[in-house]
Amino acid sequence: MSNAAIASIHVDPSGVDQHGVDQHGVDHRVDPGLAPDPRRHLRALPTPSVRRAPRLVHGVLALAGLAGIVAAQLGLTVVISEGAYTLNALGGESSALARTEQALGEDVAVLASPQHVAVAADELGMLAGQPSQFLTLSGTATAGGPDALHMQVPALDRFGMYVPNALLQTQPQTAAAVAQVREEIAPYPGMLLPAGEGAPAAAADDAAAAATTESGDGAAATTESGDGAAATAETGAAADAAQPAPGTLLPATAGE
Amino acid sequence: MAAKRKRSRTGMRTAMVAILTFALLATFVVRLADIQLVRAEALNAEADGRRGVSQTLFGTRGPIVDAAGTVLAESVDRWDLTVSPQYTRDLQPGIDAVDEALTVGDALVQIGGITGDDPRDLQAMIYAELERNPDSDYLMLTDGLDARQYDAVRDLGIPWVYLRLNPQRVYPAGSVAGNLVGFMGQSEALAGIERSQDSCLAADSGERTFDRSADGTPIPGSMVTDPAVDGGSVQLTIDADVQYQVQQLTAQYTSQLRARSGTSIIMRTDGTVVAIAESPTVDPNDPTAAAQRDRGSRAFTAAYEPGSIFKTFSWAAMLDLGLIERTQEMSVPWTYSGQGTRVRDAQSHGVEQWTAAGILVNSSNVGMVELGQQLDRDDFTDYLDRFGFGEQTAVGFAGEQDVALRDLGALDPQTQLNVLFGQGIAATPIQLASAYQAMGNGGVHLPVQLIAGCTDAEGEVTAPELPEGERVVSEATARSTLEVLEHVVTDYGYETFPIEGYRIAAKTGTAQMAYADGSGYDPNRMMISVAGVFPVDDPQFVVLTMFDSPQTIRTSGGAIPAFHDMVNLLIRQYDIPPSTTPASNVPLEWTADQP
Repeated sequence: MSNAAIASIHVDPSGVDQHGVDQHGVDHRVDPGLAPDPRRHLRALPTPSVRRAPRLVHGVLALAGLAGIVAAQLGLTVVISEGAYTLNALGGESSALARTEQALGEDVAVLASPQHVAVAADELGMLAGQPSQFLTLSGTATAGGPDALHMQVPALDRFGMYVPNALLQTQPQTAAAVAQVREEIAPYPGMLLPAGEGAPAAAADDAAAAATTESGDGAAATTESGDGAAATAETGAAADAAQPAPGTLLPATAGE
Repeated sequence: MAAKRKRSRTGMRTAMVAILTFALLATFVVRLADIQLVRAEALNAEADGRRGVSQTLFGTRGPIVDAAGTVLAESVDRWDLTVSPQYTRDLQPGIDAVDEALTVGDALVQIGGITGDDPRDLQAMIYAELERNPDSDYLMLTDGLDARQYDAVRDLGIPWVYLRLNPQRVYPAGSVAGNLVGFMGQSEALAGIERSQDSCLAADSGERTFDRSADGTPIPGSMVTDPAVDGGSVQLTIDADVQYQVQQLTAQYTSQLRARSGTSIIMRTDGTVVAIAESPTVDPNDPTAAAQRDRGSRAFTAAYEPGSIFKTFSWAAMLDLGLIERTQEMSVPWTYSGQGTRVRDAQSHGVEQWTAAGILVNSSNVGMVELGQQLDRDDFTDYLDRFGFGEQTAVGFAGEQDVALRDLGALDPQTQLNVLFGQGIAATPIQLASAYQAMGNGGVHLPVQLIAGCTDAEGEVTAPELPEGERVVSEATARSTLEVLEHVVTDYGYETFPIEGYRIAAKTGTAQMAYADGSGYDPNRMMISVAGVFPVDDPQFVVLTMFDSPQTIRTSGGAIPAFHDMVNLLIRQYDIPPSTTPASNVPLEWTADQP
């Protein structure tokens, strides 16, 4: 039943009784046996509620809800932006620490380089270790390791390092060692230069020259060593003859 | 009447509200269209310029490490210091974030104090740039600032200074393996492993874009990151400690002999390289300090006619073919001539009664020619091919030579003879070392291996693809040949050669060097060399050392102490025990039975 029909029932309650068919031609008549009283078709509509003025509490509630949402939104935004700043600050700190780590790592890598280790060992007067001795199964003797090297010189001489490393210039200690070595054996006018002006001859045969030259008068002495290299003994080297020069190997029998 | 007026007033109000609403709406629509359509591009560009930031994320180029993981090359962060010349100005407290006034001059003095540059140079650069272009917004004052300098410059807080990340390559071990590792140019790899393994080492840059607030903080949710992919790490087979010491020895002997250059190769008998030393060498941190010719690796790029150390291979080929026996008795004069050919030994001597072994030990050219009468040159070519001559090694080093093998049978008769003792045929030092590796490995030639593998950013290891090994001579031939070469160390007349208790096989060589134009041999230029394998009872290492044009000792005797020291070094480094088997005793001479 359409709304219009309901309206018409309200307006003219007798309409249905009189015609049995409403304006829309719908037959409202029912079998009298099933519905003895046609008035029962009418139902009471709920009483239309009187629209009351909104209560204050609702308004307050709504506004409070709104304010709550706004505040929550605001709070969330504040927290997120706060987080963004924290993130940014931590990111900055992290990259600063990464930079520090890298700088220290670079320092370590340079200090651990073979050149630095060699120069530092020379500085400290360290000597190359003894080669291993091997036990023989007969048990009466040890089989010796290899003999001494024919040439063992400091990693550093007045011409610089044999195996250069530009990064070591940034290490003050090594740079000082290099400068010192250069100064010690800087050539002077009238000095007898090594026959081969070649880099190693001066410091290379340092040890050999020191051992063979007993002239402590400081005069430069030139010796022809067995393998043909001319060596010049410096004053300092001759004075140190008793002390093996840095880098010299102790003879294999030294400990016995 | 009142009701009517009320209605008309209501109507008017409605109309006015409607008109106002429409007017407002129309204004908004017009404004919207203006912003969104008409000026959209310009505004977008301006907005992006103000907020949008795009940063390049640099991937890190992978490191190069030795067999034990010692870093030979790595990438580090460095910064370029750039300024905006047109905005270079004095800073005032209140306007800028400084406590007291800071003039440009003072600022440059402070920068110079950090970077080590002369502030006047910096000032001059800025003036020159402004002279060129008064609106210039970019000038690089100095580059390569490390992390400490970066922090120091940033702490100055000068608004017209910009620090730009520019990662660079450092080589912590300096010239240790410098010739092998190679170096980088401004942007690309120029030499060595850096170049040949660039595909493994190179990183892919990424990008990060985000919007930033007025103070530079990224606005949450606006960040889009395309991450950079770091390069892989290349591991070499070399041992940095041995490499350093061999370089030190090579450099010492090179300058003691006053040679033009020295090259040493240490290889394990499985074909992996332990060390390749060059002198003079290159420090990859400062490649321009080395001469152009010293920046590569001569071991791979400098082919030469090897001379007597090559006799080992022709002798072994003849022994393997059954053409000669070690104890075969020969009478060897010091010259040979026949069919328009002429061969002489290095020194004159009477007719010597040497065995075939004695000919190799005494390095007689004439003896080799007489032994090689029956050797078919095509067979010999096959042997040399299997020894690895005539082709690049498996390393594929940047600029490596292959020195294609010529068909020995097609050569003129004199060169056919010369090839037997290593003249008229060229080889690179690494080819020679690799051929000795076959002798030390029971006659099986294995490819030379310098690169152990590439580990990419995900940790996946790729081993280089190597060809299969190949048998060159029988195991018996290899062992017999080494036993004969053992006599070179003990019986060749050099006290500096042997190491007591150790069985060492070696062959010396004094090679004549051809003129570059091929017009003959340079009488003033010799290449002295020693190549060897030890310990003979259980070969582990191949050692080759050579010196170009020595001045103080001009025969192979000059290289012998260097060889001795390198073997010595390996024994110490790897604690190789003395040989337990007795030294070989092959007769080198014979005496005719008196009838």
